[in-house]
Amino acid sequence: MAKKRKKYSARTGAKAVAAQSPEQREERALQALAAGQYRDAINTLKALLKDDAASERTPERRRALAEAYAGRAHALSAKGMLKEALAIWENRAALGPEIPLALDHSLLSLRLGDAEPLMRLWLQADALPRDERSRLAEQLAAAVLSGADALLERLAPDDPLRRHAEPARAALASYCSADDAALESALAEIPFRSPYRSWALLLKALTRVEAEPAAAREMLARIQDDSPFAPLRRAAELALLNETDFLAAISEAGPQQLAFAAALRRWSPQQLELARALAPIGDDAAGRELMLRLLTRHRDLLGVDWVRRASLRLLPPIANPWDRRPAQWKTLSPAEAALVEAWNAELHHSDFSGWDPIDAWEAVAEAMIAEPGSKTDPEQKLAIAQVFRRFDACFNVLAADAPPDDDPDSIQSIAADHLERSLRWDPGHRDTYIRLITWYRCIDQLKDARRLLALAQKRWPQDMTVLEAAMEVALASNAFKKAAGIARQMLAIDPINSSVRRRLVDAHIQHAAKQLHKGRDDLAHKELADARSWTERGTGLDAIRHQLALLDGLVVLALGNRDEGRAILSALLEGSNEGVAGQIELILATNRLGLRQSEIAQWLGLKRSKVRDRDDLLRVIELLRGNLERTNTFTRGMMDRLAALLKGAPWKQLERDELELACETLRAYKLNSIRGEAARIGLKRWPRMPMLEYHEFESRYIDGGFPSPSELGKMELALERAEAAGETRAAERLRRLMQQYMPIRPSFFDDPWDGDDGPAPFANDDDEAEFPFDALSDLLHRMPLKQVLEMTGMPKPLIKQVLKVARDEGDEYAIEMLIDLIQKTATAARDQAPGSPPGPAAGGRRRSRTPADDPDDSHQLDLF
Amino acid sequence: MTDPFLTLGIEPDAEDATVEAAYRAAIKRCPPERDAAAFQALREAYERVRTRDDRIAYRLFDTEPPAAIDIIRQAATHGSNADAADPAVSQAASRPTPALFAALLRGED
Repeated sequence: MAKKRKKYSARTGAKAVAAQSPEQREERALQALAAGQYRDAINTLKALLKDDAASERTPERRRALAEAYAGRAHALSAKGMLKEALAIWENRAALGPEIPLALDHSLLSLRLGDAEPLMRLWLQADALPRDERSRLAEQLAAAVLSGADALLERLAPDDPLRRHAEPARAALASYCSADDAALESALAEIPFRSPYRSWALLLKALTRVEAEPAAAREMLARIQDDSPFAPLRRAAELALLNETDFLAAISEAGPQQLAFAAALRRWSPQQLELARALAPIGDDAAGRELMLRLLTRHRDLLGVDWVRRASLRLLPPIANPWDRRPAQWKTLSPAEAALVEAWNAELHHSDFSGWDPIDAWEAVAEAMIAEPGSKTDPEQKLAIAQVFRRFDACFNVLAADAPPDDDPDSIQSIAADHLERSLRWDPGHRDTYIRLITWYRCIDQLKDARRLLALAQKRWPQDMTVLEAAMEVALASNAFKKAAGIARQMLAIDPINSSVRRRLVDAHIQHAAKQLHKGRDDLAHKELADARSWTERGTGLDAIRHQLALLDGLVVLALGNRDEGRAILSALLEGSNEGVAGQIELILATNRLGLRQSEIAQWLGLKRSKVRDRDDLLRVIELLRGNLERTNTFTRGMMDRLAALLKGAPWKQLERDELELACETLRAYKLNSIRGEAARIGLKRWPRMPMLEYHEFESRYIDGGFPSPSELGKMELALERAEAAGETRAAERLRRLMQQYMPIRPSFFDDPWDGDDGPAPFANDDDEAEFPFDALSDLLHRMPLKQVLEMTGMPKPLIKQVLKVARDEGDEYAIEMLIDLIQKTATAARDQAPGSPPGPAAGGRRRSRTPADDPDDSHQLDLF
Repeated sequence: MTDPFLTLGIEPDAEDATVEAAYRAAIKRCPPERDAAAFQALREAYERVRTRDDRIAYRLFDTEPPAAIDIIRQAATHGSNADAADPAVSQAASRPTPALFAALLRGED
């Protein structure tokens, strides 16, 4: 129907046009021409010339038609429809001799292999404007260079096109054979005004592409876009792109352009083929698969070893150790397969994955050791050592501030064992010695620390880091004289090392405290005098000198002349004139000597004062923080005194960062009621700030008690806010806190193997679902016991109890006992749940306790 | 992050001195005031493979898959090593042929 209607409409439209006067039709055609509607203009003008042939307007109408043909031909050329465009140009040329041959018609003919129209035009070129003549000459020059030699025969001998053709062709031949001297000489014969000028410029630019890319780029830019040499310019410009841009441009460039650019870049056809294949590859899994195949196909070009190494990194990820391995797996050596598994173990390691990075890296080391030459090849030996160091390097489990765990099955013990093994392969790795020495010192295995220290000192007797480690070990062994000797050795090497002086002073103070408790005030004074001798030189030691004076005064007060001691200390307190800060210093000094706070306060007749203002408070926090660097042992008396001094402190005068720091400090001193007070005041000013919420919450329950469900709900919200705000530290702490109070987290029972083909041992679709004992049992049998227990979020004391049972009775016994316990606990919980049918409480091994019965151990189950 | 060996134009088994020489030559060719990004890439590449331990660690622990640009560079490096036997032939081969010039002049893209 629509077609019929259109046909009818067109017919009626033509009838309507035919009914118009010739003047109206001409005007309509000219309007279409002006609007670029060339097809309408052509149709109207053709019809008009036919219907009104006798009109005196015929020459104008013919010129308008010629213009419309030219417009249409240009439009078709722009669309790449060259043959159709040429047919339109030919229609234009057929309009009569008064329509001159268009230059673009000739150029298109030339492009399509017919130089004749251009030649005809050139022979009448004197009539053309200068610009068109130059353009025409350059086109003919390009035609000559592209192989249309026959044109030259028809030119006059003195025509520049003919005269300069020979040197232009010679220049090309010289360039292509890399004969730069001949090239220069040929180019010298091409004058500035020659039709081959752009050609000469192009060849000069090409010779500079490698050595002077900027100069080449500049010369190429002087070749115009409408020049017949522009395609060569564009190809040369491609060669000048950097690799990334060139790869991006490959998909847009034509094959000849690419071949030209590739040759300039010194690429072989195989390289070009590789680049063309790489250009469309994406950065997704499919892209990696394609890239892997591509590398295999081009391994000769890329080098077999390189392809092998690169291919390992293109293998698809393996989310779980039980997942199917990729097809290429069978081609890997045992060491390569182990390495790829270790990468995946690191990448996908989590509480819920089966990957264990430490086992995975151990497997890599063992596979590498089994390879031939592993014991003789120095590079391979270093590689094995690095693999053994990897776990600790990556997870930082032996960090000095990590909570030490000397359980032989603990991650830390295994990591330490790996480091020990690494030293067998790389005995010259100083940092590993230091790492292990520090670790052994922290867990009080001083014998091992000294064993490694002896080896390290033999290798690096003057190394400051080794000397520092030696001093720390000596101090930990109470070998003060030895420590002092090492310190002197260090100060001889580095006389301005303040940290050595501080550390020694601390050691002497510790020793002085011991002497004081033996009643040897003379020796205590001697230790303090020794300490003072280390502070005579060195900068930034004023505070230590002041503290030593306090300590001296305290020794006199405690064991010597009380009046004299009182006088010394009172003078020092008055001299400091720092409000409550002076008292804090005295409290800290008293604590360092292990004296009773109440007695000292009583002897000195100290009155309780309060923190006056912000400056006073900041000074107090600074003192407390400084003290944390020296000791983490605090007496109850000291904490009571500090709590009394800090109660009602002006917390609201602190800024947010200062308040957070204050809460951290109070946490370290276990001053939890003061911390809670500070956090609550902070929350009034900055409501819902996750870190302050954490401090407020933790300070309330850390000493006992159990939060209500609504409080736990608030903590969950705080955790969500911390995560949303990117406050990772606060989020991590809140998460741990939640784990502590909700040890069996829902997330553990969410399906961790959430996939179509994997098992779903913990599926928990409805409230009636049974506890997944089989899955837990499977995990307990498949993975290290401690790891599974930690995954469950079980409280640490309970984990310790289970591990103790495992050590005493064996893993199997412990696992059976644990499953039995959980079964009974779960049954009891279900039976007691609201809406559950009434019945007797199952199991007799779980004590029925409320949190209030045992606040410190509220979530501990009785195993025995 | 692209392959540091390819960025510096050195072999994976290069010695410390070779790595340093390659780095110094590269930054001389590409000083920071000329191309800050390229200079930074060179600097990062050098830091990653400066010592033998660094190079072993890169081989063992770097899991970054090769980028297309790495593959192109490796093809260029490995290819140029193969061509290095005859530099004269290599230079002539690096120039487009007259046929390619003619094709582009005829408008064949």
